[in-house]
Amino acid sequence: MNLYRRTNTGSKRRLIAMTLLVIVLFVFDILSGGKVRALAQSATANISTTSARLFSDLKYSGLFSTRAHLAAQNQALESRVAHYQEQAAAYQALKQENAQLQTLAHLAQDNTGTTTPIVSSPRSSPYGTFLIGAGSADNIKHNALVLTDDGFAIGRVTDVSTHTALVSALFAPDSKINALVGGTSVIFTGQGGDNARAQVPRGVAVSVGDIITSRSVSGRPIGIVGKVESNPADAYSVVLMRLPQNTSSLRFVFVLSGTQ
Amino acid sequence: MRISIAIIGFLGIALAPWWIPALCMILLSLRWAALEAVLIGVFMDLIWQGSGMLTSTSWHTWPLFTLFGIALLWGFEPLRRRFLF
Repeated sequence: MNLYRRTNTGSKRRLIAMTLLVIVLFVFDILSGGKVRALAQSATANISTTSARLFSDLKYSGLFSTRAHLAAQNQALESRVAHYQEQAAAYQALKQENAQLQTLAHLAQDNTGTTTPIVSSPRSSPYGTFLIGAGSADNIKHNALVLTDDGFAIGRVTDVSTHTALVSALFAPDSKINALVGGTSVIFTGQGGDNARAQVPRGVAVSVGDIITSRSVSGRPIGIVGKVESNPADAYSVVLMRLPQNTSSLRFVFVLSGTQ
Repeated sequence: MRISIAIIGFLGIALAPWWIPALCMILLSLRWAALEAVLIGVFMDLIWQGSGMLTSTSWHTWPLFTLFGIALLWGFEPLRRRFLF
């Protein structure tokens, strides 16, 4: 009984100590102006970038090619061809990257800002956020608007450290954004995964593919109508909004220099 | 085993979908009174949840993973005591 009590008290003390440690960590982060947060975000950006590079190297090294593929290569003595294929694949990757950068360059002609890479996977975050590889050293400001290469607003910078910044997606789960669709102002609720939904009066003409803009991002487009769910018995139609391209396929974004 | 799960959990914060660290937190808390489980939750929130986002009306702005970690730590304690001591 005595041993049970001692064990019980000891484990409770340990749990209390752990809980207090967590509170101390959060308080320290707040008092230090987010230093713990910034350090953790920089480390995450470094880990993500390094692992992406490693994955890319492994992919092109042919280490994980299938046995059948390797056998076919051996039969035809295609070591040189494989080399050229590797070069061609790398060229394709660079071509895609270049095309996206060219589009961003067009965007940069009309707006002042910074083109920056996305350094984390959007699916890692449960809060609809992602990390970009530019920070206060690159003139990234808190609350700056983040655009895709085709000019769609996708988020705002919420945390800035020296070389990285955290972007909160406009359609983060449960977030609300005022938008214009079919000439009517409606409130879209973020669903996560680049999607949002809103109720629109049935009389408003909305069709799939219509561009949706928002005054809260200076009238820029924030998405397109992906689907309209309408029931004759209801006074409202449900409009589902999506981005023309998935953010997880984006490699670069354009961060505006102001906070417009 | 504990170290492996903790490493997967910590790396999962940066590299894996969010449910991997959550799963590691559950596995760690089931067997041990693991500080790592809570720390995984804390770092999930510190890294992915921007500062100054906390509002009482929107549940998604709360540090969910930290709260989840603490809940696991305390919630599984009777279970651990019952079966492991």
